[in-house]
Amino acid sequence: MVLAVGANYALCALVAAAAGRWLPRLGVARIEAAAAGDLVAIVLLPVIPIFVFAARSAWRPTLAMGGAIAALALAVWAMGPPA
Amino acid sequence: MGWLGFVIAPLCFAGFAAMAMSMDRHHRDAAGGPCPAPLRRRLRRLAWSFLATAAAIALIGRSVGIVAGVLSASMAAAAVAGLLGVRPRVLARLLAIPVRRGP
Amino acid sequence: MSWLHTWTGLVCGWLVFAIFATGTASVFKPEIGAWTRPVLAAQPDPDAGLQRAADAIRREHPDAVSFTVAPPDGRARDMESYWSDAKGVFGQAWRDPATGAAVAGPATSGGELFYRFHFELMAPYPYGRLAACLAAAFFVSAIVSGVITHKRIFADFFTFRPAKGGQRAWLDGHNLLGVLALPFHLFIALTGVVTLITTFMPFGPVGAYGKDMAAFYADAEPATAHLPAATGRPAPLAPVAPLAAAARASLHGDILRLTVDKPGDASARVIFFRDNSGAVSKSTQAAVFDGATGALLSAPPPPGPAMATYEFLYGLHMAAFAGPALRWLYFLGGLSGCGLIATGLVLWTVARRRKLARPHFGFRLVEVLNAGVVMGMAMAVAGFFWACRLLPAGLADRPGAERHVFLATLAAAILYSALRPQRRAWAELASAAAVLFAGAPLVSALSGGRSLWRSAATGDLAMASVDLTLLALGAGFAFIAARAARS
Repeated sequence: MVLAVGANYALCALVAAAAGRWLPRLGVARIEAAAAGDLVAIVLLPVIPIFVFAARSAWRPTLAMGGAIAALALAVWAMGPPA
Repeated sequence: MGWLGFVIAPLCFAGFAAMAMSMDRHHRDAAGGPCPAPLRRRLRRLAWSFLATAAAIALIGRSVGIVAGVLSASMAAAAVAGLLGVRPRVLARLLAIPVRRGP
Repeated sequence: MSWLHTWTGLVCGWLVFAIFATGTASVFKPEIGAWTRPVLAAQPDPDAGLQRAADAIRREHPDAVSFTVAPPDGRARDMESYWSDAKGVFGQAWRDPATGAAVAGPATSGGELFYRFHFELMAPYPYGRLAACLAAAFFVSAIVSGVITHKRIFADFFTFRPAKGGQRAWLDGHNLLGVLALPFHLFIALTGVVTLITTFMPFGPVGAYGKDMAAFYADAEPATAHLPAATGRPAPLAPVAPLAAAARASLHGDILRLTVDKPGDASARVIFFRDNSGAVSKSTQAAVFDGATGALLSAPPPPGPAMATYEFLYGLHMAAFAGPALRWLYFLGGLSGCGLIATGLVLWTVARRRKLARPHFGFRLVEVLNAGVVMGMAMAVAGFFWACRLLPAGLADRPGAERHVFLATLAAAILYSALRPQRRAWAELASAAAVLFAGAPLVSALSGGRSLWRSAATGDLAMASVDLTLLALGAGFAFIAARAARS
């Protein structure tokens, strides 16, 4: 359970970081990117479990979350330091 | 703009009361029998007109109006539910719905 | 999905109840604060009060590098003021607008106790805030899963059958409180997390700014960012009262507070922050004046869409925009949230008691915490009002003592709940809460603080309302105690 909560948080944190890292490269102001990333992340945080529990099997959401975490982590690392 | 709540609350109360009375379960408690079909259509139409008017007024007040509207609507719905739980006949009388006496 | 609802509800229930209870009380933080401080006469001219306070701070703390004063806003008659010196030492005092001097009276936490407990849980930074945010996030999950689980949500929309009794009545109550105030519960929980967003989810700013977090704070608060460094050339501070009038004209709104940076220096700045009336968003608009010449400088730029959304959500939670009617609606919403959580927690035990031959430890723990936390929080909130009046005035760290009384009352209620049979515990603790709430205005009158008669006689509506609300809550808990004793 703790692992699941932790993974959920990690996923949302990565969404926020990715938005914060990527949006300024598209010309968005840094403060806007930071705020947008954070807001999306905390709306996702309580909502992701709903989707997980709505799924029919346990494997699909677990794989999806694991994949998303890995993909986002890779993206943030690949983008390098902030602009 | 918060005073809009004073206008929106009674409109929502009327709308929710009509909506509740159009439902068989509550009509039974308040008026003694299920809601007849023509009355149900009228009540539903009445209910939606009241609620739509309340929503329009809330939108006029923009952000503060919407917050006032949403909170007033909750309070009005709670008042209707409370009334239905303790004094259902009062609601029927308020809407001039014929109350069937006896069993 | 119903498992998710039950699990998230149980895990966060007691914590969220405590947060909701203190949050509901905090809707009236200024009024409660004014209740804890000595009676002041109403002052007709807030700008004169601002000037007197500014002069007093300059006299008492000539080496303050910045200070802030908030004008009386009709909810409390005194003015909150802060100052800090070059070493970063902070001071705080409530000031009388008639003299500018600090209000005399026993040291007290005022409205801050409930407010700080609400988002910090009296735990060290940042753990209290993180726990509160986590609980709020769980609460949002509980709400959404609860709505999905509630299959007859439209058919049961108005269903309230108090006479039925048993599990059905508890479920009806829980559903009603949840569904009818659903928008409130959802937005208050979500916006609650937003208010602490930088503590709980710093990764957006970290992603965008990396190590340059100072730039983040500057961008987030444009009015106080980019203040000029001290020049070392002394220059007397321009009078703030006429600047206040000019600020109102420039901001098209009233003043929330004024901050003076580097008073007495040639690079002084006087910043007036706009208040929130007229729009939900927490306002970042400010009018910045040159502190030495009194000239109006450029205003900070308006926020972009993401920051504007953040400010809107923040403002929605703080309800600073709310007039008296809306404030009461927030208060009722908060009470409904407390009721929602309490009925949910009780439902958990009622649904399982019949199935268990003998209650096991987990069940017993939930039972004890239910009565202990729900009634304990009520008793602790009421107990604060007693402590505020009864603790000796000269006590060292009197605000700390008030906090101890608060926590000790909560702990005592939980202990009592563990020692008494469950049904009796609810009735007896509710009676205690009733006595504490109803007795608070009496204690206030007898101890020479504010009395309801005096507030009513002098037309002090805000103070009379505090006493009347305490009495009404006492009556409410007496009703609950009577019902609990009968069942």
